Amino acid sequence: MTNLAVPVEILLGIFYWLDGKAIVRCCSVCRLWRETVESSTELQYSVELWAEGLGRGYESCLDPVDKMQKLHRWRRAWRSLDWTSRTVIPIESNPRAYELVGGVFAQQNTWPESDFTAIQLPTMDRDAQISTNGNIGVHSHDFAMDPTQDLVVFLHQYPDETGNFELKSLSTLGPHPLALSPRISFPIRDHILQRIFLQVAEDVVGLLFRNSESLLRLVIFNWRTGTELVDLASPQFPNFVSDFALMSPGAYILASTNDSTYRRGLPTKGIGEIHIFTFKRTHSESPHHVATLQLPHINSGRSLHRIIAHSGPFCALPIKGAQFNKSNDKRICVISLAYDMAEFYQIYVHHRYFERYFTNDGVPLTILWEEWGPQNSRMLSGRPAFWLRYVHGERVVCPVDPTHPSRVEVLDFGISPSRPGFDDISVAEPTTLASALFKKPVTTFLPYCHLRRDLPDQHHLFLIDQDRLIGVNERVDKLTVYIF
Amino acid sequence: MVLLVTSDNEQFQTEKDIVERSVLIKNMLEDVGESDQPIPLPNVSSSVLKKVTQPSTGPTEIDVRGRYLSTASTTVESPSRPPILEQSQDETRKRTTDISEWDQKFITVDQEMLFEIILAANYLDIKSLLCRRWLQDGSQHDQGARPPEEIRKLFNIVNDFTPEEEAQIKKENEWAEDR
Repeated sequence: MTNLAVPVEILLGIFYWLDGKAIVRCCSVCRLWRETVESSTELQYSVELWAEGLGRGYESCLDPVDKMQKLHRWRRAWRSLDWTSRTVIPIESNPRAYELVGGVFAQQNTWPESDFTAIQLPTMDRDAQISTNGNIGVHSHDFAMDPTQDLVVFLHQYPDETGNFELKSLSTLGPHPLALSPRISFPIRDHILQRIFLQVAEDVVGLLFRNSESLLRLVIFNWRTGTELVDLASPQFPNFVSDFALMSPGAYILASTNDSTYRRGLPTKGIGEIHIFTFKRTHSESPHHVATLQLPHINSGRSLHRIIAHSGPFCALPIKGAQFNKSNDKRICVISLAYDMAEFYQIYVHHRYFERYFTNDGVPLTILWEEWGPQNSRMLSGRPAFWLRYVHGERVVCPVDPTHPSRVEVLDFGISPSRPGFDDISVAEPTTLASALFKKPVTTFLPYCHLRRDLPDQHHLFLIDQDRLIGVNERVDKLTVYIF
Repeated sequence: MVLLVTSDNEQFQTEKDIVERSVLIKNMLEDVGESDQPIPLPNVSSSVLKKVTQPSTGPTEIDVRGRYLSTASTTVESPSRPPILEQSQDETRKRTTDISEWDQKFITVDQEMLFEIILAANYLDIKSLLCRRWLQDGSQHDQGARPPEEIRKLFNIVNDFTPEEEAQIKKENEWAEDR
């Protein structure tokens, strides 16, 4: 047997395109491959990026050693919550809707006019600047955006029985150049849009809403072509759906409060379920229900009132000017549970756990909590956040604890505790919840580290993105940005 | 359509957006502008070119993603590597059932051909779209990284580690399997 004599420079060229896991695997192929990887700072940098859940961004001509140093500095800063600089930015008070995606904070105010403002948040090298400020001309209920595609989607209702997505350029508020038609309309057969969940992932825009009779409707469109991909209305849904999260341009989850065995008239409501669906991003086809994940069993007489699933934003492209970017597939999903409106818990699950079901072509799989929860999630007690965007990638910033009002707490799930040399931070022990609510104690093992730090100011709530923690004051008229 | 001429003087009519995945050809086309002139590829034989352009005509995710990338990047400058490789992992996974059969067929070439393809892909500067497939297999959900044993078999590489070294490496690399 003879080795395939691929020259080292070609090997290097090939390895450059691989992700960290593939590069690490190449190290165990043979001595030559191992030496090739170990002698290249560029490939070591690929592995380090991947380990942090990052992908390459728009790199300048930085030397690989400098790139590595910048990455190490960023990682150390987050691991110790030791920010580099702090800036206060005034905003219009009490926005009707806001977003934090791709380094941009945007807000919409409906009174007196439909004003929209987008602020390019500060970085280590650049101050904050208002990138867009204008009147959107429509009475928008909500918006979603992806600055990496220069996209903002406004949802409005006009005339009464029509819902519309206005596809605009985030920088000019004019029609988006890549949308075939600047407006996508769909009949809503009702006068009221409420409980809106609007999300964008690459070329897909998805919306879950209720009408005046609380009937649910889910519509998903390809915003570039205007093609309708999914249109479902009750009763085509699992029962008692209370949240929708677009995972990717081909999959979404629905969170429901009851299990499939629920029958009307029984005393116990359900235990809660996460339903995973895939859909086609190019044409309309019935979504494929691939799996249902059940939540822990609760005692009779108790009930799950509300379930909300929230993940960090999805960016189609790297953020302009950023050396690295959070990979969309390295994200954590936070499932917030309110039992009897008295006990509150959060379940944290990696997106990659959901993704393993995407390839299921057959009947939907039902996975009991005991089969998936303990090893693949972490369940903690804690009140839900009341603003979204408290998750980015694999980090979650906790709601402010009233007993420690000037403290910030971050849960980091983007860690590799079994990696040699990974000893700079402590990883949480398994959690056991022994509330009388549950049929039996709930123990979960997903590794994470709990970071805490006292701040010079008190904040009302926190937002988070790749490079920033953002404190919002109680009057909601200024952002305090801590840059990492 | 673009006319390509291989080292053995065979001519190929190929869709422009397919051959433009080769950075080399794309640059050549930009240099000559709109022209019917055939593009010479003195380092690529016709049998290899067939293999190299084959993935583009097969029902692969590259078609969709490649084209998607080209429209998406009209508004942004080109990043240091196509961001699409970072994105749409789920898309790769979702489409694996479409490509795995084709992939298997594509992969069953003899060692000499494999070597030539790698050299050609390197020369044409399309390694990102081609050679990646050898080491990252779309048919696995875990980021599609091929296990070392499979890579060795595919590239006909002798495992020259001692059993102790191999155990040590496995231990050192275990973390990546959990990530």
